[in-house]
Amino acid sequence: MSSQAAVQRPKRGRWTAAEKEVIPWVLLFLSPWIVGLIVFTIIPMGWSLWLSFTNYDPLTQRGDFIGIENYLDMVSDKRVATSLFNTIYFTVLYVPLSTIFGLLLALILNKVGGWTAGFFRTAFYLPNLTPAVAVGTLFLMILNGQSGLLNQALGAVGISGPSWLNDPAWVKNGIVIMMLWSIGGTVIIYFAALRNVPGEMYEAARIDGAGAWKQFLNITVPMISGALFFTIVINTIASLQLFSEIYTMFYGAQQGQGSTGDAALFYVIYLFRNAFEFFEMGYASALAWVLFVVILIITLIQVRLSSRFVYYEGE
Amino acid sequence: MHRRLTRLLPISVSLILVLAACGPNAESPEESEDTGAPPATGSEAPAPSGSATAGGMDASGDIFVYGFSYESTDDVVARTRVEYTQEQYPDLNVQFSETGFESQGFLTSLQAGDPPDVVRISRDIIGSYISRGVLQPLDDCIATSGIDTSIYRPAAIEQLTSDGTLYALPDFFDTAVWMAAADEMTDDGVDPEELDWSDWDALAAANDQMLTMDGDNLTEIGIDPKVAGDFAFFGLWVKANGGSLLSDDGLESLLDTPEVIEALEYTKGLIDAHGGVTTFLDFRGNPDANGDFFGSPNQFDLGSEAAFPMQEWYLNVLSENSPDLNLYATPFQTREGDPLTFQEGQGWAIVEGSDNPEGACAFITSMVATEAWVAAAEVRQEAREADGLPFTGVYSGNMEADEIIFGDMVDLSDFPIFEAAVNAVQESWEGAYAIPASPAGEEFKQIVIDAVNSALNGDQTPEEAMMAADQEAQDAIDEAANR
Repeated sequence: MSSQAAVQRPKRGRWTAAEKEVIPWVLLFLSPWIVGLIVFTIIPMGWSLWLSFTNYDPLTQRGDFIGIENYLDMVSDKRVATSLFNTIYFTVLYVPLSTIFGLLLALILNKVGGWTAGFFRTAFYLPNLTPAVAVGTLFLMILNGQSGLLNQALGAVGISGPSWLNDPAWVKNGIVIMMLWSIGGTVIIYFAALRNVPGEMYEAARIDGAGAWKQFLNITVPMISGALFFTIVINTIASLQLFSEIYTMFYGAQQGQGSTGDAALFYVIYLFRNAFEFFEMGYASALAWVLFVVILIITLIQVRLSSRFVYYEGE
Repeated sequence: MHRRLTRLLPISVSLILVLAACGPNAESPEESEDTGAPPATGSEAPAPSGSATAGGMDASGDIFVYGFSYESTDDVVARTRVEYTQEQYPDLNVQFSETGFESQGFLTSLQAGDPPDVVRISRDIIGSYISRGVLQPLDDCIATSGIDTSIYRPAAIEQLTSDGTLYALPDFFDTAVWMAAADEMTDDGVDPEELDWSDWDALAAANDQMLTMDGDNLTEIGIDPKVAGDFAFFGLWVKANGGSLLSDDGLESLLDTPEVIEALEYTKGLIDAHGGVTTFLDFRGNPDANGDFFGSPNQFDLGSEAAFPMQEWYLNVLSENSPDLNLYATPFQTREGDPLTFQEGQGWAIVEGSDNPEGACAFITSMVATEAWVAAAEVRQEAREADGLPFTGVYSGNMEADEIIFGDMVDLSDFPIFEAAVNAVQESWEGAYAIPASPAGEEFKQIVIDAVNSALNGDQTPEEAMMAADQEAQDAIDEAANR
């Protein structure tokens, strides 16, 4: 019946009678997702867009329409520029490094066989299962300038490590190191992509005299470019939205322990503080929409570039 | 007909599911029936309704308290006071958030139209909530309960009062005194008894004498002024210098005044003498070198810090972990030599929109009642004595309770060092001041912390940092006040 319907479909975009009959059932089974999308995404986004044009105070639950004043205020707010710079600095460092290290680990995993393979796959992924708050707390110890494991390791090879937690010049680099600890998700995606590269390609390349590096550049990278593109997009978005680990390490209860100034003020942290500590929900909504636009633009650029660099099998 | 039914059925089912999902929660406390379960047991079902007058008020029904833990805490002072309240009001069913106050959670409950009945909130940020009408004036509660508000510490009451109206009752009364490792100071050539703790030049000289550097490495902190990231302690230095962060009405930022700038320059100097704030904080946060602040060995046991101003509750930590420490404590002082301390703690307030304001009133008045504090102190005293440790008291905002606790219960004759420390705390109470309640409470606090950190890091000079912060703070206050 359904195959007949497919054959009988007269024009693209027109529903057959049989298809029309099943539409309500399709909607029924999709309804949990549709309702979720409307209630938890579309309505809050619309509400947030409206709030961004008001001076809404969540405590009094009152706010007047003020046009684009919140957006104009952002231009003169030096903390917006600082937090945006910090966030982009982190993203520019983290995304390439997570790609390189993730790929390196995945290549190693791909070579490991036998009973150890499962162990290493699990070990690399385990950090991803650690709650963000726990990661933040853990790295307060690891990154301690005097007694932290990282500086002890650097000291063992004769390098005097910096103050990762208290020196504003090094704080963001310390955060990059912390986040690289949990690239297990990226590694697993690369690993799965590597497993799908046909072995015959490497065999043919070897017969043609290609070395390991040429095989990697001309076979591995193109064949997993889809996975690379996906993780770069996802990691970029996640980097621009980074919050929990940083808040745990430098704000909240830890605030009295340090003096990093605005070095750890990431964009979403500033957004959160405006919304829930300063009760500037209108301004926070404007910040959120600007972030949305920034992410959208970056993602569109990445998608645009992907048509040049990404190879999809079957295309 | 059949086809129409076939189409309508899934749509109807969807509609029912959506409506069911959007409907009132059948398990919500407001909707649930009385089950006869015992009161105030966290997540258990509500107790039967009825009336009770054992605590002097007619309180019954359910209340929800935000910003306080009962089931999940082993703090005997918290638990004992709740249990005292339960005895007074057996028909009042109290449930707790089992968290500390957290603005996001509180805000969410307000936005959801389901505010808690009672909130326990830090006194230094309560102004933001009072100015926005989130908390109920306590006029009715005071009249109904008949409590005497003159038994509470005036500085705490002042912080909870706006336009002559009291909005919350004070809980703890935390103050600060100088604490020092006497032996370490003596070894460093500074006699804590002889040192003039009000003389900033003398303190700076003592700091230089006590701190120890091994090349570029810091090995002992002389004096930690505690201003890095700390609003209250920075305000204390400013006050000691004759200034203030805010005007008395909380509406004018005074961050650009000479007293504030000088206090920042001075405290930054104390820290910079250690090789800069980065070296200082790295060392302070290094458990290998500086010990466990809340355990043993701590910085005093290790001789890695000589002196710092600290809240009085740290005496309890020291008495438990370092009972043999040769501690020296003296009040923090103005530059004229008068005792001075900030006071901080929480306030118990009834939230606007509470379904059970009578029950909320009964609860908050009972939690800060003299008998409740004394009962809590007795439990802690028993525990300390059983362990052979000194009992250094419970520091409440209730003067009547403190008279009993420190007059009749605290006996430190076997622990003269801690006895002297407790005396220093009590002496400092004479100089307790309230940080004015600002309508931009939390934002103002953050602006000050950011400015202090900016100066400590060298991003700006103290003057530049405070000038910029003053403008930002005033804008925040004006905006909050005009809402």
